[in-house]
Amino acid sequence: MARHHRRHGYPRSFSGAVAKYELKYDGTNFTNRLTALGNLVYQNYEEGISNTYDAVNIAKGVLADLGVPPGQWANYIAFAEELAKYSVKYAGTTLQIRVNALAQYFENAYDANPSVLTQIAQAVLGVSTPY
Amino acid sequence: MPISHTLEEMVAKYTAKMNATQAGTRYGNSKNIAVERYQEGVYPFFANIPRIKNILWNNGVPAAYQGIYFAFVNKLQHYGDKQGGVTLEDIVAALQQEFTTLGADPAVLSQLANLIVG
Repeated sequence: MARHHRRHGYPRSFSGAVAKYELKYDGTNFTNRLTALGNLVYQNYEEGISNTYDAVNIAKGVLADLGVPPGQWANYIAFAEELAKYSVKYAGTTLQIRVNALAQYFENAYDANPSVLTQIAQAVLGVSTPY
Repeated sequence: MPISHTLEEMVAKYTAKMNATQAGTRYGNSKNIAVERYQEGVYPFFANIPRIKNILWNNGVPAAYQGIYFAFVNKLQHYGDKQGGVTLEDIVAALQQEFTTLGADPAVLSQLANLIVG
C-alpha cells in the first residue's frame, strides 16, 4: 500500500483521497451494502425526507397565500428546505440564531422578501426572524 | 395547495430506484465518470485547506472553533465556481453576514473571502 505524503496540519493528501474514492466507488460493493442494509435504507429515506416534504408544502401554502409570483418560489422553497434541516439539528435560542442568520443570507444574497421569509419560518418552525 | 407527488409516491419511487442490484449496476457503469468528476470537483476544496489553516493559525483561532471557517470557505468555493460579478459579491457579503451572526470573527471571514474569491 502506497503511503501518501502528509503535510503538517493537512491530514490527507489529494491523491490519497482520490484513491480512496476510487476504491469505494465500486458497483459490487454498493450492491452488497444496500443488500445488507435491507429495508433500513427505505425507512431512513422516508423518515428523513418527510420533514423536508412537509416544510416545502407548508412554504408553498404561504407563498400561494401571499401571491408570490411562481418564478420566485424556488428561492423561498430553498429557504424552507434549509429550515427543515435545522429543525432536526437545533432547538431553542440556537435554532433562533441559525434561522436569523439564514434569513439574513437569503435577503442579502438573493433579494428575498424578509416578510415572506419570516412567515415561512413561523409556519414551518414556529420561529420568528428579527424583521 | 396542490401536491405534485405525495410522500407515499416518493418513497415508492425511491424504493424501486434503490434496488440493491440495480443501484450497484448504476454505480459500476458510472464509475469512470464519477471518479473523474470527483478529482475535478473536489480538488479546489482540498487545495484551500492549507491556505485556510495558515490564516486561522495566524489569527490565533482556537482549533475547536475552526470548523465554522472551513464551512464558510467551502461555501465561498461553491459559489465562486458558479457565480461572478456583482451577483457573487452580493453572495459573499451575505455569507459574511450570515457567518458573523453564527459567531465567526468578521475580520477573519474577510481575510478568507479575499483569499478565495478576491
